[in-house]
Formats: sequence, C-alpha cells, structure tokens
Amino acid sequence: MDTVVKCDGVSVNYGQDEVIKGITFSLKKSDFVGFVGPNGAGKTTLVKALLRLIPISAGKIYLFGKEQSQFSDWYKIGYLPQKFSSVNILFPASVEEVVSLGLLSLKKNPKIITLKDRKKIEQTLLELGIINLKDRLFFQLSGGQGQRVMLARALVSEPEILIFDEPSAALDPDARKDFFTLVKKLNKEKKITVIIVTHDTGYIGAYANKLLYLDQKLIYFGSISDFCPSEKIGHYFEKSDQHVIWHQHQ
Amino acid sequence: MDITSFLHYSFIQRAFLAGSFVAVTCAVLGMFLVLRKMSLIGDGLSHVSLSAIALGLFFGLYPFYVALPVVVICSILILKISEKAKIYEDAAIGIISAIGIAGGVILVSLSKGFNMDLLSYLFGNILAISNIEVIISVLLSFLVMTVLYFYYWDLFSTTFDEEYARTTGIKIDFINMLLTVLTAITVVLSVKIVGLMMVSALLILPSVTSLQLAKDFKSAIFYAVIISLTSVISGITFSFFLDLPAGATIIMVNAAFFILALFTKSLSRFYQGV
Repeated sequence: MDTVVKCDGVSVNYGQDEVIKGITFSLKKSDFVGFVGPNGAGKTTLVKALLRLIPISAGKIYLFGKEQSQFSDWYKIGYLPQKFSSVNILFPASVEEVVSLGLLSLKKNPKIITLKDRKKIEQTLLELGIINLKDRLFFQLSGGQGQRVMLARALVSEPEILIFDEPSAALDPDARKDFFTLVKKLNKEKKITVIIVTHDTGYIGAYANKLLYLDQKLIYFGSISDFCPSEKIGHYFEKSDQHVIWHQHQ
Repeated sequence: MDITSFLHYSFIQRAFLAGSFVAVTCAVLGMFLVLRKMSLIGDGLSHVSLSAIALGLFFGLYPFYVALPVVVICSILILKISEKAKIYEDAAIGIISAIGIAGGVILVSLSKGFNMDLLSYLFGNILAISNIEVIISVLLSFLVMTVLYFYYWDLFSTTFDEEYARTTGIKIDFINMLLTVLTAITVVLSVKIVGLMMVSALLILPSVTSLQLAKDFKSAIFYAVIISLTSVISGITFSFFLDLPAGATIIMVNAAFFILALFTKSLSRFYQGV
C-alpha cells in the first residue's frame, strides 16, 4: 500500500527547548490515526511540522514520497485547526467565501473562483448537510456549524489526507459523535487518510485504526488492538485506566 | 454659480479625476488594513512623508519624487524592524513614525523659505493638483488596484486565517510585504488629496463605515468604494462652494457617513429588538 506520510527522526526546537525528538513513523493511504498523549507532549507541534507551519530542527518529512521542501501539491492535504484560534473573527466572510479558500492551493494568481468551483463548493456543503448556511456570515455560526464549515473548507479540494487538531474541543457530546461518525465515513468511503490530534485516548479508539502516543518522544505507534496490552504505555496509565480505555476501544 | 459651470473648470476636473482614483484605491486597500488591525500604518507612513517632502523641498527637488521611494523603503523597514527586533508591528510603526516627524521638524528648522509649501502638503490641496500629478495619481492607483486584483484571494485568505493560508502554499511574508508597499504608494498619492495629517482617515473611514452595513466581504468592499468616492466628490464640491479647505471637507463628509452608518445600525437593532 502507498505511504502518504513518513517522518524520519523528526525533532522540533522552540528556542533552546527540544519539544519533540526523533519521531519516526509512516502512514499509509486510508489510515485513521489518533495522535494522543498528555498536555505539552508535542502533538500539535508534530502536526504543525507536517504542515510546514513550523521548521523542523532534525530529521526528514516525506509527503506522498516527496521530501517536504520539494512538495507542492498542498491541495492534497486538508487541515482543520484547533478551535479556529487563528481565524479573524471580525472578518465579514460568508460561508461560501470561507469554503472557497480551500480551493486556492489548486490555483495560480490571479486566482478566480469559477462557476465550476462554486458548484463544487455547493456540492461539498450539500454532502455535509450545511447548504442552508451558504450565504450566512461565518462569525454568526454556532461552534458545531463553524466546525462543519471548516471541514467543508478542508474537503473541497478533495484531499487525500485530512488533519484535525482537537476537533471536538468546541463541541457538545452529540455534535462530537456526529462529527467523528462523519469523518469515519469519509475515511471509509473516500479512502482519505485521517490524522486527529486529541487528548482523549479512549474516545478516538472507537474510530481510529492506529494510535500514535507521544510524550516529546514516540512512546507507541501501532494498531488500536495492541495499544492497551503494550508494555510501553504501562508507565502512563494505571491498570484501571488501561482497562477503561480498552473497553472504549472495543 | 451653477453646478455645470463649476464642472467646466479644468482644476475641478483634475481634482475629480485624481481624487476618484485615489478614493477607490484607499477604500479597497483600507479594508484589508482595518481587518488586519494595521489601520495606523497609514498614520505612521504619512509622518515619514513629512520628512521625505521636507527633504525634497530642502534640496529643491519635486517632493513627490523623493517621497515615493523614501516611504516605500520605510514601509519595508517597519516589517524588518518588527521581524528582527521581535516586536509588534504597531511598535515598529511608532518608531518609524517618530523618526519621520523628527526628521521633518529638523529639516523645517534648517530651512528658511519652504514653510508655506510644506503647509499645503500638511493639509492637502487637491484643487491645485497639476496635470502631471493627475497622470501619476491615475497610473499609480491603477497599478495598486491591478496588484490588489492579482492577489485578491491571497490577501483575503491571509487576512481571514493566516495559519490556514500558509498550509495552502501562500507565501505569507511576500503578501505582508506587498500590502505594506502598496500602502506606502497609496499614502504618498493621498497626501495631495487630504494632506499628511489626514491620510489615515481616508484609508480607515470608508472601510469602518461599510463594515457597519455590509452583509459579506464583497458588499463591504463595494460600500467602501461608494462611500469613499462620494466623500471625495462631494467634499471637493462643498469646499468649492463654501470656500472651505478641500482635504478637511472630504474627511468631514467621510466622518458624517460613519456617524450615519452607526446611527442606522443602532436604529435597525432597536427595531429588531437586539
């Protein structure tokens, strides 16, 4: 099977501090992997390094077989950031305009949103059940609606990898379940590789097929079924917690 | 005097033509600056213009030719100082702005005869705009608008969500540099229209007024252009018939639109029970 992401000994420094060190793993097409670990473990840092949002200090990252610095097909990767923290909430952007941004990596300047693009945007909104929001202002939406619009932005370029950073942070339990079910459906039907950063080691196991447990260095990378029995994670969880997580993964 | 004979004056025609082009440019550019919380860059760069214009007058050169390169270089310096000294952009604007004012004051005190000329740049004098200045204003406005059109979606994306824009391959540093340089050019163009003291108002007021009324980004830009154009045209007209300074009148018309927009918004909220 095709390797879509490969990290080879990746380290990231913030100033003098080494935030993640020597991370090595690879993901194949249609993998659904949870990046888990305690607070400050470097989960978001690893995702940002994959997306070239921060520079790596050692190692190499390969995307679709190309070294990251040579990779230019960014439309193949959809990204949904943590709690929209980087979004300018004063910007009067309509939902249609926000979703249009997902198509920019396919275009050269002057970038023009064509009639065909607008149909594609409508189709994506329709698939996610939010076509009724098309003309609404983004900053007037609820947390769950905003999340779906961001998912539409990530999906509109028909990516082969979807990366989510703590996607359920702003969602109530029902909206969280709906969201994860939708992502699982996309993973299964469209063979999209999914990476989800989460602090909830148990919950993600019900949807993912692999887990990557990080605590500055790689502690565990492998299948869900081998996670709880693994000796490597025994240091991080009490026996009773391991038992609860094992049940959640079933 | 009736309105038709007023329109036959060539200096009025020149003022309308140059003013309209600069008004449209300021409205579109100002929208991105306001939404990026960079409104005061216009103020900072206009202070740099003071130094540059004083320098031109001091050496007997046409001030516009000195101001354009000096202000563009200083706009790049603002970005570089912010990046190298790891300080927020507003602090870098403050530094360049203070140096601009200080340099201007020193040059004025060293000179003996150009204080009256400098006054026309401080408060603007669009009714005295020359043919060559009209041509330069129209050409540079056209250039700025063309570049804005070319990078519209990149500017939109970086203004809405810079982190996401980076993941789509947009060169953020280049876009920030581009916006700053375009602002520098527009500030120099606007000096003749409303003067150094009021340049930033021409960039900010149409945008903040339209943001009170707009339903999405496209309509926000459309309203800003209409407000800016109307303010410049009616400001020039009022100033002629009421014998008032043109630059200040343009800004007061802009301010009146802003107050009207705030009032309309409050009234509509009141009737909607929000």
